[in-house]
Amino acid sequence: MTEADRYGLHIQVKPLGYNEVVSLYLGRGLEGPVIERYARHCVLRVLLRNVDSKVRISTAMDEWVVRASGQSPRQIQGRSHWIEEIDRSQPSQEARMVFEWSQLPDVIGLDAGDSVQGLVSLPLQRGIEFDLVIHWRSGGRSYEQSIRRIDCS
Amino acid sequence: MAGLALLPPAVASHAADVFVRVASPAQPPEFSLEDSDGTTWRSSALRGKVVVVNFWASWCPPCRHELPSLEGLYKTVGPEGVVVLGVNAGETWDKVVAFAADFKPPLTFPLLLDKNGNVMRQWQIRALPTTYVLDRDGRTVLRALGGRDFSQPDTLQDIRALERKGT
Repeated sequence: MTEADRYGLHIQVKPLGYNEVVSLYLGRGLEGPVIERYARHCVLRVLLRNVDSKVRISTAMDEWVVRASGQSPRQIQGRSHWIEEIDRSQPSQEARMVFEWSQLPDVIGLDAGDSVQGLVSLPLQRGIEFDLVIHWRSGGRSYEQSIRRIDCS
Repeated sequence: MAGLALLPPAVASHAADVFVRVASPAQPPEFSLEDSDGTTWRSSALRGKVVVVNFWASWCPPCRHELPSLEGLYKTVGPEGVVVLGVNAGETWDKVVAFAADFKPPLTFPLLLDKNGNVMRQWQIRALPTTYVLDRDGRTVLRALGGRDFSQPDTLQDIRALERKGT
């Protein structure tokens, strides 16, 4: 697990293995090709917490960037994208809700003390080392933090 | 779903208050949800009371971590007339009832089932857990996103301040 604290945002990131991801949803009615496709990508468990007592922090998945050596920077396909994919497999209502609410939200606003955690699937196959660049705004300013050399085997 | 025991529960560990004041308090959409006894809870019928509404799921680790302190809050302020409701995100009654009974002591505040997630969508819940506190006019005035320790002193202070208003 990698942690970082910068300008009021506490970040924790941990890659999950393929079997870990698949087993999360087994028994909840989510299995088969779509979950296998989801799990074949690099999936991270991410926690964000506003540790600044004064300002609200805002971030959005489409502002985060994945940088892998030898590859052009890529944007993340967030919760909305994967829910569309999951919906094509016509999951049960319960299964759909488990998937939806276990993903990190596409748009996040954190007031003092707020936290959010969830899964993020990155547009990378496993076995590639990469940097995740997280962008956010608070107090009228923009910030970024690179989580370097994440190994998603 | 042990695998969703993702990261350590995100309980606020610094000096910030448990709740954030909602910038523009407003009445959220009405809901009508059943509890595990089959009793229907209508939000409109709760006007005149201070109401704590906690959105949770059994597979959500920070939800599991904070629910005992929510039970503690319920035992303290429930006798004063404060309503505490736990709205489950789309699971089954079998899972909800078994989950609540697993706690020691068990959860005793009303647990409601938002079977299709309609209330969560209407209330624009973005992540679990989320907790709102409604004043006697039914307006959302306090909010907490992420796991909390509801046994913190400022929780009681905030809720009792709402109780005193309008009395």
